[in-house]
Amino acid sequence: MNASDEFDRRWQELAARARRAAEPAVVADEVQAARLAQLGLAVIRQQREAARTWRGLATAAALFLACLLGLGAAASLVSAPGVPVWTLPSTAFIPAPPHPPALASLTGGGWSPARVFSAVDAWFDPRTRTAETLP
Amino acid sequence: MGAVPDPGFDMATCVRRVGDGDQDAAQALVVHTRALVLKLVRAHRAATHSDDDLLQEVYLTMFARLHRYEARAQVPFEHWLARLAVNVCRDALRAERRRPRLQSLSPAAADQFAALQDGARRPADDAEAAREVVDALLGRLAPDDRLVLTLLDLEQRSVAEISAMTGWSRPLVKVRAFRARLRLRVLVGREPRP
Repeated sequence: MNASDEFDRRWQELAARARRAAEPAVVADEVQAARLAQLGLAVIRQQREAARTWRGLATAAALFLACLLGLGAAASLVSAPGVPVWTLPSTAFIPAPPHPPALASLTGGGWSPARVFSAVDAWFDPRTRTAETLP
Repeated sequence: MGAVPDPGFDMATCVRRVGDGDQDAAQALVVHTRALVLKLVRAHRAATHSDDDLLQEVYLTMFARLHRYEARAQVPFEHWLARLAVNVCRDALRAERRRPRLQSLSPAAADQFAALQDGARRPADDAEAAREVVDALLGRLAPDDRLVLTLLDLEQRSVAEISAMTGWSRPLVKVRAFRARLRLRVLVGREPRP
C-alpha cells in the first residue's frame, strides 16, 4: 500500500468516526418558515411588477418604433418623383370676383344698398362664374 | 435526495399555488424542504455565513427562480432545489477567505489529527473529536473540494447523486474528489505535528 492509499484509509476512518457524531437536529421552525415564505412571495411579487414594467416599456418602445418606421415609409413614399406631397383643397366653392362691369355699375352709376346687394348676390351666383375661378 | 418523504404532500400542486401567491403553500413548501436545504447548507461549513443566512439566501433564490422550475416539471422538485442550494452555497463561500486554524483544536481533536498524520498512532474512538478535525480540515479547503468530500465521504452520497446535485459530470465528480483528497493530504502533511 503506497502513502496515498494509506492516507486515504486513515481519512476514511476519521470520516467514519466523524459520521457517528451527533448531527445538530433540524428543529421545525414555523416562525422561520412563515418569514421565509413571506419574503419569498414578496420576491415573486417584485419580479412580476418588474416584468410588467418591462413589458410596458417594451410595448411603448415597439409602438414608437412602429410609428417612426411608418412615418418614414410614408415620407419616402410621398417624396417619390411625380407623387404630390399632398393635394390642394378644392376651391370651387369660392365664387369668382365680380365682373368689371358690375363693379363699374356699382361705383359709377351711383351707390345704393339694393345695387350692392344685387352685385354681391351676383357674385355668389354660380351662373356668373367664369374661367377666372381658381382650380 | 435526503428529504423526508411525505406521501400526502403534493409538490406539484404546492409549487403551482406558490406561483399564484398562496402564503400557506409557500410556508408548506419551506417546511417540507427545510431539512434537505439545511443539511446541504451545513455540509458547506461556512466560516463567515451563518446557517440561517445561507438558508434564507437559498430560499429567496428558490422563490425568485420558481417560474423556471415550472417550465421543466419533469425534474423532481427536490433535485432542482438541491442543485440550486449547492450553487447558492458555493457562490456564497467563494468570497470567504478566512480559514479556521488547526492549531486551535481541542486536545482530543489534536490526537485525532496526529493519528491522521501518522499511521502508527491509534486514535481514540471519539466521534466528536473526529468531527472537529474533519470540520477544521474541510474548512481549510476550497468550497468545491469541501463540498465534494463532504457529500462523498461524510454523507456517503453516490457519485450519481452528487452529479445530479452539482451539475458536474460523473467523471468530474471523481476527478474533483481525487484532487480534493490530494490537497487534503498536502494540507495535513504541511501542518506541524501536534
